[in-house]
Amino acid sequence: VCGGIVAQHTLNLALKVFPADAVVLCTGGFENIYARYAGASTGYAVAQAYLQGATFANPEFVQFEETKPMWSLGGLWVDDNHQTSIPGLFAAGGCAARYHGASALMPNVPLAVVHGGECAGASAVEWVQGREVRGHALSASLVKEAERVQEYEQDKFFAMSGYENPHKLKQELGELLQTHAGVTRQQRSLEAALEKIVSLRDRFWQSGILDHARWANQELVFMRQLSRELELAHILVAAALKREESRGMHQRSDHPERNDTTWKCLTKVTYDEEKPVFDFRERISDA
Amino acid sequence: MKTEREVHLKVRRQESPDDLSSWEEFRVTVPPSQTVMELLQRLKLKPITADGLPTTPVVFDASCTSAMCGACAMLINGRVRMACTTLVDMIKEPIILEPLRSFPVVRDLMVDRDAMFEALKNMRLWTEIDGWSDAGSGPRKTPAQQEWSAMLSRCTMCGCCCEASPQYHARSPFVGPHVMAHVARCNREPNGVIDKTKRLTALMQPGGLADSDEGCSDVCPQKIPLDRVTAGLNWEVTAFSVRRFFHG
Repeated sequence: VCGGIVAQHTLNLALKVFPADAVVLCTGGFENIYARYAGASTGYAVAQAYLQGATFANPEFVQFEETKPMWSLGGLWVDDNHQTSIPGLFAAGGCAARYHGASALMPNVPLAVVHGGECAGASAVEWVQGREVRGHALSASLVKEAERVQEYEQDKFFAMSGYENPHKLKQELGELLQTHAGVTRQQRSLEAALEKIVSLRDRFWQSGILDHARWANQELVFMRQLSRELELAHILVAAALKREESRGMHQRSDHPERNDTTWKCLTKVTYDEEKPVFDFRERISDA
Repeated sequence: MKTEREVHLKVRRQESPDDLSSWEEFRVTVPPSQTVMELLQRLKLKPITADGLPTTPVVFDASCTSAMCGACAMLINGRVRMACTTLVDMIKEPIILEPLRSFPVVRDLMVDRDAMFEALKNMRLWTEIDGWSDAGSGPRKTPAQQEWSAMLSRCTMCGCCCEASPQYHARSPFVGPHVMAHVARCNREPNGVIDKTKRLTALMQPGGLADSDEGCSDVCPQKIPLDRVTAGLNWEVTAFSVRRFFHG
């Protein structure tokens, strides 16, 4: 069950826990992981929710516009009420996957955003009213614990003193996705990309943080984002590799046909320390 | 085809609001037709000064990278511009980057533009509604009205006009030229007219009126004709104050 969020002030770097009976994520997509993107969201929040157990849906689908990724079409899996797989955590807008499949018509995107928000807000209120324990029922020890986890991670980032430049890694990741996970994809190149992402993840921990300041440190924020972007890139490529068909605007040159018998389904991914767990059982109805 | 070249860059840096600023020089290799923002991003790949000393990446605000959000306004060679639309090839070297002078510096090129938003709060830029009920569809606007509001609503709160205005500085009560665009828009909205007199009264307070535009409209990245808007509002305030004098 979701009991609130931990947020960090980007100027004084203070960490703060916001206990809550329900949380609605409206944090946008993750198209920024590509090298040439038109959006500006890095997807830290969705990736964090995914790492903490929320199911991700359709990570492989990205809307392209003249080779620039416009929006990520996938996001956190949500039900009809816009609740994610974690009770009490809701998602709407670019960070939720509900209305778009493998491509989206431009006017449908704001429509989905507006409807999603309307739906998620009402559902969150309903969820809170239906609960027995209310009024931020998060114990003080849990609050402390949540804060400590983030502090620990922050210290880890500050202690990173490797030789690699993290911005170079980000550039490599972006170019990698741009070439291998663009409009046209292919098994062999996706496999190569997946391997590269795994090595990028290792190299990330051999990189060094470029700024140790405790005030307005954009590098710390960048390190946080990059660590999560690598996770998202991983499931994006892994899912693209699994989906052996061409659908919407996504072309698999080795599987040029659309295959409704096997692949008319959602790609659901859940985090596991070993490797992501895929589930293709949720079919898309014809209605 | 032109190839990569080395660009000489000078940045005014400041650790925190309380620190003194100092200059740092860089030599950055860039391909042709790059923007100043791309130059700054490239600097992160190799944060080393012209003297060969490692340093921290330059802190600057950026979001959309495509001239829609207004976050990256800064002084480029002494002129206020958006880093995301200024091409490196089109400006003189050394390229000198400084934070906006009209606002407190947060760090390096990042400034605190809260004052711009605070100024808007006093201007009643909203429509009062009493309770929630289905009031049917809203009033219709003529195409001319629509164009007028659309033009004024392009303001991104980048702060370029404040920077260009000699009237806007730390010791001046002036609310800022951007406020005029927002007030002018609300005053002509079919629903906004209701509070028009309240807005004009607010503008009559110290710091409410702009003396002249002094190039504010020239620097506006969104091409809002602030000179015309300000002149129009000043007339309205004058007429309103005369009316108020005679009729109370």
